[in-house]
Amino acid sequence: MALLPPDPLFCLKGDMGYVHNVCFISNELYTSHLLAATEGGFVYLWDLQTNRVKSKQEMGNSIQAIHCTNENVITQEKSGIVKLWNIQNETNYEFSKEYQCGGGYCRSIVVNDTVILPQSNSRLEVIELKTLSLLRTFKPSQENLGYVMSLQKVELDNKTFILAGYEAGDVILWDFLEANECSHLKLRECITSLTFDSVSKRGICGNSSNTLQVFTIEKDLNMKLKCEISITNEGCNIVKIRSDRKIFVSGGWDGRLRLFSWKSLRLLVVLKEHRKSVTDVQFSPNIVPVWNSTIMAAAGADGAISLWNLYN
Amino acid sequence: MENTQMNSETKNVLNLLSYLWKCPEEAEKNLKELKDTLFRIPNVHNLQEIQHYIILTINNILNRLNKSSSHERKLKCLITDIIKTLCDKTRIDNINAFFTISRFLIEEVYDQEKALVRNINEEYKLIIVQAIISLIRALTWNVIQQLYTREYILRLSPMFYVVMLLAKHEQLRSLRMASIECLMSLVKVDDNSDASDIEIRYQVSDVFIFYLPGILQGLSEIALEDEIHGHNVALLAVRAWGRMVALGLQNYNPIDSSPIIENDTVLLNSESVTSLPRTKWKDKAKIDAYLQNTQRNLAWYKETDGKLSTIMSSLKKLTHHSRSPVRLELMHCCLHLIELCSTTIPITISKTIEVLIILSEDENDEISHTSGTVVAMMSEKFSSEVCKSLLENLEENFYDSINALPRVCNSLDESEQLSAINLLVGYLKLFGNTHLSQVLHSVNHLKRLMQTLVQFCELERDVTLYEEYRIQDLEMAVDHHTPWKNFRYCRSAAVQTKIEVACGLLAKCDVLDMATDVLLEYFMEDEENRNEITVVLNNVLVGLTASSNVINNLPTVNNIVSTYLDPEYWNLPLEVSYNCMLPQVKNNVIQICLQLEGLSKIAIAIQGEFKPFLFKALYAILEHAGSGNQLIKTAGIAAIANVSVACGYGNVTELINNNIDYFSYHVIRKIQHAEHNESVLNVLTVVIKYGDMNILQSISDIIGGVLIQTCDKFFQERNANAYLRVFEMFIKSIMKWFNIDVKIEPIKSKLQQKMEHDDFEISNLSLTDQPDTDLGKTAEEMYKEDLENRKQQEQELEDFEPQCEECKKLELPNEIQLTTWLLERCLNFLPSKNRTRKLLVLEILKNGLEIVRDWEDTLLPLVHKIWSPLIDRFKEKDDSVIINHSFQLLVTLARLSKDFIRSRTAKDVLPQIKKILIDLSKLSYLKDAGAAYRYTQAYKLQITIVQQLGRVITDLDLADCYINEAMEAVILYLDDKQPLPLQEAAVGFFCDIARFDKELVLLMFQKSFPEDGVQNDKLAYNKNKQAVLQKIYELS
Repeated sequence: MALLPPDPLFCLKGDMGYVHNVCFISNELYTSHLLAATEGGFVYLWDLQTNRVKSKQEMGNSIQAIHCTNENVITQEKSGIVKLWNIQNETNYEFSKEYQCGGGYCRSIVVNDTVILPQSNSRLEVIELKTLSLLRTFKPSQENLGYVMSLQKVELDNKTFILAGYEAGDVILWDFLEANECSHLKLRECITSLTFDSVSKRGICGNSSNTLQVFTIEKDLNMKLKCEISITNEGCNIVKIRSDRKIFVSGGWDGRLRLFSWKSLRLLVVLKEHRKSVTDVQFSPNIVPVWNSTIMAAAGADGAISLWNLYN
Repeated sequence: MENTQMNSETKNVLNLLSYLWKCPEEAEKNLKELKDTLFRIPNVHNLQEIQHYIILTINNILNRLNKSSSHERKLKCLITDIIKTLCDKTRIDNINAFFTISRFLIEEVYDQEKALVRNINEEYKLIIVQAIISLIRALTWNVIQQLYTREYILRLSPMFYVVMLLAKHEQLRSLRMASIECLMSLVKVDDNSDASDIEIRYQVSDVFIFYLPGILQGLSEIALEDEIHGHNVALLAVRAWGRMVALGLQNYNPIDSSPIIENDTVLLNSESVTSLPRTKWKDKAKIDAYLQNTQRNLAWYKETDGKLSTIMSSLKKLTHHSRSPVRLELMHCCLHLIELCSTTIPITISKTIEVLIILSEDENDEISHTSGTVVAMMSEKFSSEVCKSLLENLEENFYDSINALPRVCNSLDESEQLSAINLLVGYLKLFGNTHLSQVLHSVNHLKRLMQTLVQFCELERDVTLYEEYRIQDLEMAVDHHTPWKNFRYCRSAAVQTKIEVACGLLAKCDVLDMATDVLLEYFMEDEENRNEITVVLNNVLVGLTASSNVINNLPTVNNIVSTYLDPEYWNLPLEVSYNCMLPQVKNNVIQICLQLEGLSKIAIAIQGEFKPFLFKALYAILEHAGSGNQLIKTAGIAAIANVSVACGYGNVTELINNNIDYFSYHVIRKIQHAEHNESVLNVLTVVIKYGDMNILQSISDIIGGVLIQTCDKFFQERNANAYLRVFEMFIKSIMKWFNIDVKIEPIKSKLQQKMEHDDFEISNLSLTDQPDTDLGKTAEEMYKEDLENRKQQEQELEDFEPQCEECKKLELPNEIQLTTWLLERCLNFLPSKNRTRKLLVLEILKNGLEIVRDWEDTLLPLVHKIWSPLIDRFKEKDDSVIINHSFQLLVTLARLSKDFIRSRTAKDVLPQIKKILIDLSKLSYLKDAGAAYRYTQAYKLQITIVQQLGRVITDLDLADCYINEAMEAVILYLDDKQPLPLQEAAVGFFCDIARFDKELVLLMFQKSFPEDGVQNDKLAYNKNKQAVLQKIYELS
C-alpha cells in the first residue's frame, strides 16, 4: 500500500488573501510568531502558540518581502517602496523611513546590517538597515540581463558574496564588500528563486520552466551547472534548503510543495496542500513550543500558510 | 427544732449501735434500721462525730460473723450499704479506718484464697465498687498525704488489682464503668479530684508509676474491645487511660525545657536500680529497696515511652470507632497528652499526633475542627529546633503509614480504609507546603506513596460496552456520574472523596511536579495499571484549583495534556477484533473516559489558562463526545461542557463557534484520509448539534469537503450511512438555525385556485395552453424548455465571461446552495439496496426540500431529479416502511411544487396507491383495537396514506377522474368494520376533498350509495357517510 502523503501540522487561514512572504519571529530559545506579508498590503502577525492572528496591520500595498530584526520590520512593496518600521510593542509597528528601489517581484534580502535591493537596469543596491542610506551599488558589466529576479547570500571562506539571478537566466556572483562581479553562469531564463548551501557549495535555481537547476561554485569562484531536476508542472516560485542540509523544498505554481533529499536530490514527497501556487517557504530558526520542533511554513496564493514538520 | 430532730436521729443511731453490740442475733434487723437511719440523716457534722463508733461496730460484727452462713451474706450486704452511705456523708480521717473498710470491701468481691472474683450477683458487685469510690472520695487531705507514699504501695495494690479485674472481665456495663471510675478515683484523676493540686498529683503519680503498666495495658484493652460492649465503657476507658498516662508521665518541671536531663543528672546514682530485672522478689527487703529507689529518670521515661507508643498505636484503631463521642474522647485524650507530656514521651506523642491527624479528617465537625487546629499549630512549630525530633518521628510514622496502606486497602473494611486515608491526608496537611517536598524528597518514598495511591484506586475493569446507534439525540445535559470509575476496594464515597483530597493535596503542597513526574513515568511504562494511574493523576490535578501558582505549573499541565492526547493513548481500539480482545477493549474504554475526565478536571482547575490547550484538545475531545460508546460519549460531553465553562464560554455552542478553526482543520484533513473517518463524522455530528448559524460558513467548507469525497471510492459502500447521518443532522440543523417549519396552508377550493390562477393569467403573461389538465405537463415542459435555454445561455456565457456563472451561483444563500448539492448527492443513494440508507435519504430529501422551497429555480430541478428514483420506491410493495417514507416525501413534493408533479403523480403513483389502499383494506377489515395488526408497518402505512392523500390531491389540483379514483379506494375505509382511526382518517379525507370540490364528493356518494333500495351491504358505511355529509353541510 502506498504511503499517504504526510499532513501539515496545521493550516493558518483567515482573510489574508494572496500571501507573498512569511518571516518567523524568534527569541534565543523559541520561535513564537510568524509575519505574513500579503498582496492586500496587510501584514498579519500569527501567534504560533494559539495559531491565530494576533494582529493585522496595514503597511502598504502588495508587500513582496518582509524582514524582521529585534527592533525593526522592513517591508518591500511591489512598487519598489521599502519601508522601515520601528517595533513599538509586540503587535504595533511605527513607520519610520522609506526608500525607493526598483519595483517588481524580486525579494530583497538582509545581509548583516544591510538590505540588498533590486534596482533598475539590473543593478543591486546595498543600503544600511537602520538608516536606509545607500552604501554601494552593484553594476553588472553585461547588458540585457533584465530585471533582478532573485537574491541569495553566499558564504565562502569567511567571505560574503551575493548571488543574483536575472530575468534573462544569468546568475552573477558578487563580492559583497568590493561590489565586484566574481563569476557568471547562464541558466534557464526567468529565474524566480535561488538558494545556496555554503557547506557543499551547491545551489539550486528555480525558474518558470519545469526544471530545477543545480549548480556549484568552484574554489576559483567559477560557477558550473551541475545537473537538472525535472518536475511535473512548470513554474517554481521558491526553492529553499533547510539549515540542517538534509532536504530542500521547491514551491511550485501548481501549488505543490516538493521535498527533495539535498544529498541525493531525490524527490521525497509531493505535498498538495495548497490550492493555488506556493509563494514562499521558510524554516523556523528555533523550536516552536507547541510542536516541540522546528517547523516549515509554506505560504500560498490561496491565502493559507501551511505548517509542516517533516523529515526532522 | 431541726436540731432536736437531728439529735434524736443521732441518738437513734447510737442506740442501734449499742443493740448491735449487745444482741448479735438481731443484727440483721438492726443493721437494716441503721442503714435506713443513716440514709435519712442529712447532717454530716453529727455523723462525723459518731463515724468512728459506727466503723468500730461494723468491724465487731464482721469479726463475729459466722462464715458461710446465708445470714452472713445478708449482713454483709447491709454493711456494704452502710459503709457507702457513711462514706458519702462523712470524711475518713484515719488511715486505719480506710484500710479496714477497704479490706472488707475487697474481700467481699474477691476471694484471695482462690484468687478469683467471687461469684456474687452483679448488682452487689456494683454496690461494692461504688462503696469503694465513696470511700476514696471520703479521704481527708491528711489521709491522702499519708496514704500515697511508697510505704503503702503493697497494701494498695489489691485494690488496684481487683478493681481492674472487674473493669476488664465483668459483663454489666454500669459495673465496668463504675470500676473504671473507681480506678480514676484511686489515682485522683476523677472529676471529683482537683487536677490543679500539683503537689498531691505528683505524690500520687509517684506511687502510681508502679501500677501504671498493668493499668494502662488493661484500660487500652477495654477501650479496644469490640463495639458490642457499649461505647460508654470504651469512652470511659479512653478517658481514664489518657488521664493516667498524663498523671504518670506529665512533665512536672515544665519551666525547665529539658526536665528529663535535669532529673537524670540528679538521680544518676539510682539509675542502675531502675534496670532491675523483672524477677520475682524473694524477700521483702528487696521489694522495699525497689519501691524506694525506683525513680522517673531519663531511662525510665525512654522505656515507658517505648511501651506507651505501642499502646498508642493500637488505640489508633479507635479513630474509626463508629460512635463519635468515643472519637471525641480520644481527641481530648490526645490533646491532654500533647499538652502535658510532649517533652517526656516524644515517640508516644508522635503517635498521638498521628491519631489527631486522622481525627482532623473526621466526619464530625467538632472533632475535625479542633484536631485540625492543633495539627496546624504543631506543623507551624516544626521549624523550631525543639520539634525537630518530633518531626523526624512523624516522618518515620508517615512512611510506616504509607507502607501500611496497601494492607488496609485490601481489607475492604470501610472504616479502617477511611481512617488510614484520613491519616494520609492529615500527614500531608501536617507537613504542608513547607515540609512535604522535603519529606517526599526521597524518590523511594515518593514512589511508594504513588504506588500505594494507585493500588487504592484499583478499578473494576468490567464496564458495559453498550453501543448507541442513534446519534441524533445528543443529550445536552451533562452527566456528573462517572460510571466508568468503579473502585474495586474503595467502595464507599467517603473513602473515594478522601483519596481525591489526598491526591489533591499533593498539588496544593507544591509537589505537583514531583508527583506527576513519577505518575507519568508509570503511566507510560505500566500498561497494566494505567487506568488507576490515570485516576490518581486526575485527582492530583484537581488540587491545582486552589493552588495560586497555576502559571508556574503550566509546563507540568502541558506535559500531562500532551501525554493524554498522544495518539498512542488517545486512539485506542474500541472494538473487539483479532488484535484486541474484549477485556482490552473494556480497559481502553475506561482509559479514554478517564483521560477525558482528566482533561475536564484540568480545565476546571486552571480555568482560562486552558485556552491555549484548546488548539490540541478541542478536536480530540469532540471526537469522543460524538462516540457511539455511551460511556465515552458521556465523558466526552462532560469534558466539552467543562472546558466551555472553564474557558469562559457561556455554553458549548459558544465554544464551538469561537474555535471553529481548531477543529475544522482536523475534520477536513481526516475526511481526506477516508480510512479513519468514523471519528470525524462523530466530531461533525457534535459540532452541528451544538453549533449555531455562525458556524455555517465553516461547516459549509467541511460539508463541501465531504461532498467532494462522496464521489470518492471510499464513500460508496462502506461509510455511506455514516455520511448520510451527518447530512441528516446537518439538514435538521439548518432547519433549526433558520427556523424552517413545515408550513401547511388551509385547503383552497378549486374555485379559489382557479380564480387565483386567472388573476395570474391576467396580470402576467397569458398562457396559450388550456389551463386545465394540461397545465402540469406545461409546467414540466416549460421547465424542460428552460433547462434547454439555460444550457444554451450557459454555453454562450462560458465563451465570454466564465466569471459570470460564479456570480450567478453566489446569489443563492450559502445554506441553499449547500443543501442543493447535498440533496443531489444523496439522491444517488435512493435506489440503494441498503434499507437504512434509503430511509435516511428519504428523510434527508423530505427535510432538505423544505429548506430550498422558496427558491423555485433550485427546487424544481431537484423535484425533477427526485421523481424517477422515488416512484421506483412505491414498487417495493413488501416494505411498508419504505413506501410510507416515500409517500411522505411525495406529500412534501406535492405541497412544495404543486402542479409541477401533477400529471406524473396521477399517472405513476396514484394507481399504485390505489392498489395499496384496496389491498390493505382487506387486511385491516375487522381488526379491532386489540389486534396485532394495528402494530404492523402496513397499518401505519394505511393511516399515513389515508390521512395525507387528500392533501396531495388538493395540492396537486388533480383532475376529477383521478380524484374519483382515489375516492373509490378511500371509500372502503368508511366502513365501520375498519379500525376506528382509519375511519376517522377516511372521513377527514372526504372532508379535505369536499373543501376542494364538494360536488365531487356528493356525486361519488350518490354513485356508491344509491338512495333508492337500501342495500344491506352499504349499511356499514352509513355512519361515516353521514359524518361527511354533515361536514359538507357545515362548510356550505
